Amino acid sequence: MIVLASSSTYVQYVMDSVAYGSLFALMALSLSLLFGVMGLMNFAYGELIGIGAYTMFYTERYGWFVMVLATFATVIIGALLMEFVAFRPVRHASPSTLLITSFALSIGLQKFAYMVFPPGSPRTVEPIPWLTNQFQVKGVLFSRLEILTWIVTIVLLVGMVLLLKRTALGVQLRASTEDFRMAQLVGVKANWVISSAFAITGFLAAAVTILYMLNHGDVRPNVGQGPLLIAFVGVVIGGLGSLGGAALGGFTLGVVINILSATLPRSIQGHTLMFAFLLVILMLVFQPNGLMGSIEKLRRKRVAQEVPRVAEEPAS
Amino acid sequence: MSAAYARAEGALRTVWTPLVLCSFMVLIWLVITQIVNQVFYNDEAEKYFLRLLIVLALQMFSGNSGILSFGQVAFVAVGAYTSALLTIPTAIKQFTFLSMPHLLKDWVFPAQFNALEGTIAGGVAALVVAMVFGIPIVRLVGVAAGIATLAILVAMNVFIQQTSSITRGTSTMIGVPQTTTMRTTLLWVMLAIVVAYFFKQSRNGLRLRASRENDRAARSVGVHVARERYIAFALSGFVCGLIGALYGHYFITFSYLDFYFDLTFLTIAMLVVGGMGSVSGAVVGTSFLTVIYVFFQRFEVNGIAGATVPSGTADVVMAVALLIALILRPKGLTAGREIPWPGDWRWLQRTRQPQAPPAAQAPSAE
Amino acid sequence: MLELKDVSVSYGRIAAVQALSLEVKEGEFVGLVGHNGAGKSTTLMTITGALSPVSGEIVFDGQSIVGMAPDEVLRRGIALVPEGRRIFGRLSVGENIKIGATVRKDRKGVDDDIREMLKRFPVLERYWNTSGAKLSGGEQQQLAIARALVSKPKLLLLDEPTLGLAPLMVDRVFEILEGLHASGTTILLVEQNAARTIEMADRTYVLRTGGRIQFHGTAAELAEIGDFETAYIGMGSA
Repeated sequence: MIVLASSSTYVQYVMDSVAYGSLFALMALSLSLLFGVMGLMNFAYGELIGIGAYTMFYTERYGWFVMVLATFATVIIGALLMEFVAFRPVRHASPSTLLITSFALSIGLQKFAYMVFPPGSPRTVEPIPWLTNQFQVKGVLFSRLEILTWIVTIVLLVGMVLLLKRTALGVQLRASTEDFRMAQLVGVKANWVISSAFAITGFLAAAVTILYMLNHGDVRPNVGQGPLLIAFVGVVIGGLGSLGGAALGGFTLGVVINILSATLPRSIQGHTLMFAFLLVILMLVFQPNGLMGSIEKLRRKRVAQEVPRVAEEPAS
Repeated sequence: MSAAYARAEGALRTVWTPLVLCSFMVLIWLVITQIVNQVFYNDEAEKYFLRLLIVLALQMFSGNSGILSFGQVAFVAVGAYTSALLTIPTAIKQFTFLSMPHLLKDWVFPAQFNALEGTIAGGVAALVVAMVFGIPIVRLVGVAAGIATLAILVAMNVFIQQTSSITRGTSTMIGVPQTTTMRTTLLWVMLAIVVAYFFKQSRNGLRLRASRENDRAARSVGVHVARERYIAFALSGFVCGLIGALYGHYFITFSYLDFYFDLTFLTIAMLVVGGMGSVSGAVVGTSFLTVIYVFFQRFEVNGIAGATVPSGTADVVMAVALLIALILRPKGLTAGREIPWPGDWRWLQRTRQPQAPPAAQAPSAE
Repeated sequence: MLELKDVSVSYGRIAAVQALSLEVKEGEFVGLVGHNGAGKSTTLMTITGALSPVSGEIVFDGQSIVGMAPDEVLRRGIALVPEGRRIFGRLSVGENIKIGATVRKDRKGVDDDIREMLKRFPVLERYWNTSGAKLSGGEQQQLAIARALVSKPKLLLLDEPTLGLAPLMVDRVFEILEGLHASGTTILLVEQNAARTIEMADRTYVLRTGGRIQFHGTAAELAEIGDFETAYIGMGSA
């Protein structure tokens, strides 16, 4: 868990939680984007963070500008490659085949990282003192990194909203997440939309990784797994078919976890994640409309999408 | 054909698949222990059998219901830990579980189950947990079920990690008696094959498979889908618990990481590559991937013709194999079919009347 | 303009459409009627490329379009108003219409056409910024038609546009279709409402279950098939 500051003030908790929560809002949003467009819950998203982390480690010696640029480049390219190599061939498969595919890809990339970067020497991304040093404002501790996190998150979220609402691509993405087949029938190109979704995911992942790693530091092959699982939960809670819901879900979860880990008694504090996941199961079963509704709609859509050759159910 | 012959053939057909598969298991056991008889291969064979057991348990639920579960390994963990707690010598427990709450201490410490009792206990504990989780799980399908079962896996992992008073948290278990032998594992494997096969052919299995093909149609003929799934889920959980105990008593030191993504990935890969819909698929997939895995592991360590590959290659190869299988042959190597009766093999087809295809499995749906 | 030759489409082992041949000439209003499950929707989905035929030829404007992706078919000039309308509920009316123009490259032309369209469908102008889900069935149907029209198609396919609509709206839809036909749009209409379709169309194909053509002709020709109604009703029990 990130401990951004230690202080007993209420405000402190809120500030820390907001920074933490907004990161996960971003992650959840891009996970949800892929789910809407492809029916894909992408495990391998965690590995995008991994790619970013390793890039950061190897490029930080060249200064922050190069590091940031390189990270964005490798993560976006990584995302596009993922799409092209692993997901495009199975594009028309059922959502659970896609799930296993993303699982296989995720594990594969982690193992690949073990292979190429043997665990022998510990790797860490050095924190940038200017960012992480804390200063006080009216009794509340801040770090510039926190402030940067809020700013970046807000900018990116606003940017996403603008992209989705104001641009042609955004309208196409929203139409595709609602009814992929119909979008194709009005001329939206599948490849373009899906590749764009992956590219956007990559972009957001890069931003998240940089902010996360500057806080966390430890670069391991499975560094992305923790954040991924939390984002997963956030998406589920927020609603699998809804982009806004996912962001909100991710945010809420990040906030709740941060608050709980600061306030719960030691004995059950560690179990926070466990409760979160149990909550996921309950939400999946009981949450009416939002969640189940999206899944239902998506299932019907997937059935109707069953590919050109032969369908399982007649359309009428 | 005389009536008696026909009856005999009918009977033989019914048990054909498990018979062939079990013979195959015995054959492997014989070759490895009697002919090859090297520690390395004995070890690998044992691991092969243990993984196969998990894959079979997975097949019982996922293969028949069409719902992939990422969470079965959590039940394996339950079995392992439960059995360990009940079989570790009291003396050892007293100083490795210092922080165990008194309520539990009082009956866990003195407990000195033997191997079989421990295994059954593990199975029962896992069964109970599966029955609890099964209630919400069986109402879900597809992605939702996948995510929910994943949640079980993660939740269990966190639990094991955090409740160190009863699990020793992130430290490994100590003092687990090594009671699992290849022979006992072999017996359990054969038992599992038989159970998996006959469950599939049973009324439950049949109804479940009907729901796999077409959920709504099955419901419309009165199949209570949730209940059928629940039975399969509970059965699978129970078997996983048994396996966990066997596992624990073989490896003797294990920790929370042994029952997490790596094992889950491996077993799912083996099942999917082999073909989820059939028991033969479980065996084929496990065998196939094990051969590749062990080969590459040796390649890593010993090398071939002087060249070695970096450590971890074997794992990457497995992932690639699974990806290729998903892209090229999502229904698996067996495409959900079982071992055909010799008379039905196409190249043995003679001029007698064409037989009805033996339980030709509909391709496993996702 | 459009020609289907011996087209067969299957769902697994079920033959939904068998050896269907039909033709739509430029400027015509052709109807396709038949009972539920006769294969009417399947035929339309196959023309647009959402489904692939097992065999047969589909020729549009002299070019074979079998196997083309839906967006490619749209670029060729065939637009579909799908069954159930399938407007994008989360998008606004304006966005729904604009997305219909995805395949067009001429911004100015599109804007002009949309303005024309809004005159034909004034209700859409009123709800320009409302999300599609909030519209009534009839309004959504108009939106779906507008969305298809804005791509400036050479051939407009409609799949049961009056399904689920109140009688007044049904009239309105047929009015719109008549207007479109009058202004030169080529139309292939699939409908349950056989009588009205036959009346309005230049020619109508009557499909029976399995996608085979039972009858075919102009309103006058069909009327001459003595016990047409009995035959038509009798057809369904096949």
